[in-house]
Amino acid sequence: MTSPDFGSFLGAFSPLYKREMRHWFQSPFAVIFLCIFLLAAGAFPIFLGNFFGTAQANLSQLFVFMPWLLLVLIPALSMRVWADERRSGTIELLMTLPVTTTQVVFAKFFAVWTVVAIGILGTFPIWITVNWLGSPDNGVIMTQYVAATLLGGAYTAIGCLISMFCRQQTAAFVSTLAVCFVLTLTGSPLIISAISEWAPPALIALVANISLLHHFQLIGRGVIDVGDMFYYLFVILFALALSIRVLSGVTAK
Amino acid sequence: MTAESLLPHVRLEGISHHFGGQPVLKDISLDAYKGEVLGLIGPNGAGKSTTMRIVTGYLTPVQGRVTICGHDMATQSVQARRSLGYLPEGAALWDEWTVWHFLHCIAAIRGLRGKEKNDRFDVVVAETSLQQVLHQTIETLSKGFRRRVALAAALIGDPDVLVLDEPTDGLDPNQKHEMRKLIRTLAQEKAIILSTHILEEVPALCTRLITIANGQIVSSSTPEEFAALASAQTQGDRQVYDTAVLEEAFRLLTTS
Repeated sequence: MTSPDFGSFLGAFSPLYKREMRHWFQSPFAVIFLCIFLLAAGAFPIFLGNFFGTAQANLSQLFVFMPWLLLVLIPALSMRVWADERRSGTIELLMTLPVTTTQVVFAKFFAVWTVVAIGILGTFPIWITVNWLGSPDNGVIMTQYVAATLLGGAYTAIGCLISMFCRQQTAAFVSTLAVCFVLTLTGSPLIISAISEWAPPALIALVANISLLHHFQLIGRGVIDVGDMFYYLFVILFALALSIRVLSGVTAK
Repeated sequence: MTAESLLPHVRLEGISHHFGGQPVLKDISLDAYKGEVLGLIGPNGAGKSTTMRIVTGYLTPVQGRVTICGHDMATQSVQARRSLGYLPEGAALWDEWTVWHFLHCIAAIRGLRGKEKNDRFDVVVAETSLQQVLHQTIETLSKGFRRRVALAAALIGDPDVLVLDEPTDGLDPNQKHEMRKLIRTLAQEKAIILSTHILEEVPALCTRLITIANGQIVSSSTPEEFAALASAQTQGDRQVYDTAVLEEAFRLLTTS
């Protein structure tokens, strides 16, 4: 993308993004999401994960629960993105403005991702606590935050795409949860051990590599591999590109 | 007259469209020039709103070409839509927003910044008389005000083409009067396409009438020709713009 193109992309993108952000924080949804997310992110490691009992100075207890928390809560945000716009008819106003479908899709995605990132970064008091109580490997913790944000981005992009097909928010929520759950679980030991009996190694590797969780765990070990990063960026861009295609089709009918 | 002013602001060429195999528009062609107010009339379901959605680029027609101020809607849709303001039927707006924030946001999306944006905002708010509700959220407004907010959003980019789907729908007689006055003022500098159910407002508002029935244009006439058609068929001694006469003309054209 050359710079004048990028300039004209930003021209309508930034007010569209601001509009989405205002939309989220004007209604109680973003605040409710953040409250529930932060409560759960704080409570799970302590009550379910024995955060203090393990007496280890790291955030692995937080990041064990994080993917599952994101998995359940992000569809609750993303379900509104297009379902709402289509049901109320405001999509007609939006799509007759001088904007490209790319600008609209990106603005909506980045706004939801921003809310998710605020939630993830909002767990920083736990990080401070760990540093106060012991001396953790902050490099590893940093990569875990990066991994969680990327994973959140992938769930968000998939959620936004699915929301486009659903007029009902609940339908969007359930479908997104189901799709993301399957994509997350493919890499779990449960599935891998079940197929490792018979499947060829190449298939096992493929199934493990499709998994959103697998790459989260790889990055979370403290080694940022370019391949793992690209995996998430690929998932995000693929879902967004598909959204752009679908949106052009939706308004054509 | 320069060559440029001879080009129509809006040109539809051979537009056909169908929903799920059911044809809704058949070979619609029309031009709208600066200074014209084109009135689309026709029975419910004739294809008026579909035509307007195609003009605004919200729907892509199965066949045919839409050109707005020289920009092809299929290939230069952003430039085409920059010259276009649209008041949709029903006007779904961002209900939780205040009028002030809503109009400023639309202006920013349309590319207006700084002083230019504030100036346009002031002009449009004055034109649509929204001063008293600027800081109210849109969901608290009456239907008449919602309509005017939607119109203000259509006007804020100062587009050359206005597409107004039932602009006077839901307004009281005073507001209708104001709306017509505003449309006539705007028409001097723009091309306007509007649809209406209210036949009395047709002669007062439109320079040309396009009658659509069953997805086809059945007549393109001046308001005088339209009324004459009915008068010729009836006793002929009634006043030209009598509602009954207009309704007779409408019935003659759209049923057969």
